[in-house]
Amino acid sequence: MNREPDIEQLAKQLGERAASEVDPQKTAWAVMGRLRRESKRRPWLLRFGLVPMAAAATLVLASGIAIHQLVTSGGNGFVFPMPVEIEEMADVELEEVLDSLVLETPVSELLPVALADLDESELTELLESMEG
Amino acid sequence: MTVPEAQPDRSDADLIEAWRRGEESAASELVLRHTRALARFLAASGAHEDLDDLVQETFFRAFRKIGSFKGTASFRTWLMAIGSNALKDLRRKGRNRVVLSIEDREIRDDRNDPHDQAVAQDTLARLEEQVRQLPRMQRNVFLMRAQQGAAYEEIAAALGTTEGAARVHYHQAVKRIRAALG
Repeated sequence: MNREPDIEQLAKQLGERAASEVDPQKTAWAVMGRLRRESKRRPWLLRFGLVPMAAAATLVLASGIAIHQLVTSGGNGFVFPMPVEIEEMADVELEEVLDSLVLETPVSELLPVALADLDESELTELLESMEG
Repeated sequence: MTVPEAQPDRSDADLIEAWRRGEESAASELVLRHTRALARFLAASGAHEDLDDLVQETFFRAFRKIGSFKGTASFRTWLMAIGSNALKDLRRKGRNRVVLSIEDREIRDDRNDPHDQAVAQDTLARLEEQVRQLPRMQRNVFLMRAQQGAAYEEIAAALGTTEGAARVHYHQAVKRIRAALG
């Protein structure tokens, strides 16, 4: 009884007696009853794992609305949230932000001084004045 | 409430799809079809007193999360993985700690010779004891393979591991059992 095939053969008998006492009909009855009770308590979206699908659909819809808004406004009417503070931005990044506000002439050509020479309050003032 | 008639002509995949659409009798058929195999697996894993409850809990969990069943493993093997987790949860709660002694268990054997019967019963009881003492992953792989005859590929899919790792777990389990049985 120390050979692998013997062990595998014997393993097929494991749990047989205990399992023979489990009634499949009774099990089905109990499981279906519990599922029905649960079903009455749960919103239909929670059944069959529909919540992740609903979340994904919402995300796609929201992205679509945002893109539509951006396209139809020509980039002007859409406000992006500012993810960083002004003092954390590099000169190049600041110029890019300012250029996005002034569409016809680059900011660097309009300014009498280099952006790097301005302190935080001057930069804030400049941005506010450009926003009108 | 009555349980619908058996529907042997429909595959598990058909029944799962039907249940997803809300056909209740499809779920009943899946329970009727897999209860005994699941009960054997759970009993061999160490469930005894709460076997009925555990089988029901496993089916309940399976139907509740049927959306996550991908079909990479068979429904039966997937059920066993869920059952193993349910058993672990039950043990964590501190229930089902009563382990029957070998003498308490009556093991059926069809051989007529009393000596052969006694030897067979003793060997099966020792095997049961060894299987129960295996680490959970090794026990799951061993039972899915040796008791249920599942392929390594579907065992790996059901247990969230690789086919190679499943083979290693199986051979480690057999090695331990062989060493223990002498």
